[in-house]
Amino acid sequence: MEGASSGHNIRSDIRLCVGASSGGHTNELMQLLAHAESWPEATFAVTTLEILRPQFERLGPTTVIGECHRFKPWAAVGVFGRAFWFAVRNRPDVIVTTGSLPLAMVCIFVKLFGGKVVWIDSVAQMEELSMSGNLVRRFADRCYAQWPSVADKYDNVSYAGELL
Amino acid sequence: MIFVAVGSLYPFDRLIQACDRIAADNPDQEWIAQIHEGEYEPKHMKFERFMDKDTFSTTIGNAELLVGHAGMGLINDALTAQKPLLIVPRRHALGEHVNDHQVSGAELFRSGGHVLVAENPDDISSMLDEVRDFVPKPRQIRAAGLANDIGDFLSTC
Repeated sequence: MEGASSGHNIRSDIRLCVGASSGGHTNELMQLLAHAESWPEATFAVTTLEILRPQFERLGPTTVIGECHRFKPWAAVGVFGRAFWFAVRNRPDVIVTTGSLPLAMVCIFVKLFGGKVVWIDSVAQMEELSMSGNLVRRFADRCYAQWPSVADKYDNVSYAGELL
Repeated sequence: MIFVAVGSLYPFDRLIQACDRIAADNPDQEWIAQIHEGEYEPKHMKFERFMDKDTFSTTIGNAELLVGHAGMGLINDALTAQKPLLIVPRRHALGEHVNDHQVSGAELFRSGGHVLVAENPDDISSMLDEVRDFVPKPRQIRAAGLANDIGDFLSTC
């Protein structure tokens, strides 16, 4: 299996969204897509900082929704609004994301408008899921941890490899 | 050249101040720092607040060794470029990150032979010779397994 590209039969008109916030999350997404030969091209890409836009534009038309975390709670309002607007305008069939919190917000709205959610929790989370992962796993269609020991702690979380 | 990087999410003044002190004591050594929105501005290192991916990668490529926070982005970039990296984990108690995952992460990557760790930025100075000679072990990853598993799911959508 390792390295083999199994012939997936994915419908070519699928509206696929890929997304990640900065740093390791972006590296993880890029690593995943480097191994995703059998997937169709992304229809949309979402990220959190303008400085990342050039990298994401190579994947597909890119929306920048801003960064927020627990040290900047006020920024969450704007990110929440932009996540909502992205999802309502584009209605992706599926989102595949490596986090973090701003992408969790996009997942909420994609799900709300009938899309499916694939969440890959960060490899940096070695003991338990991130706060965002713990939220998204409750409604995600697929939720992965990058450590078997983390996946084992939750019913609906699996391990299928790691990205960094 | 030594490159110090704190990533794209939060400042890390404790690290930048310590490196600036070392740079002050060693004027022959060139340092470049990426400091985010840190309040402390280095006086003995060239610095930028943010770098785009290409500049960041080029600077890593030009560095003899790297010093930084225990962020996965930096660790991954260092391993890809096969550069020795000395990391200082951010501490939740000091308001440097939202939790202490950098502390456990640093230990894991240290024990795997991928990076060196300074628990405290004051230890950096005495570790620099060790870092220069450090050859990082590449990490074994199985990204294809995950991409295939998600591909199976996408076939059902």
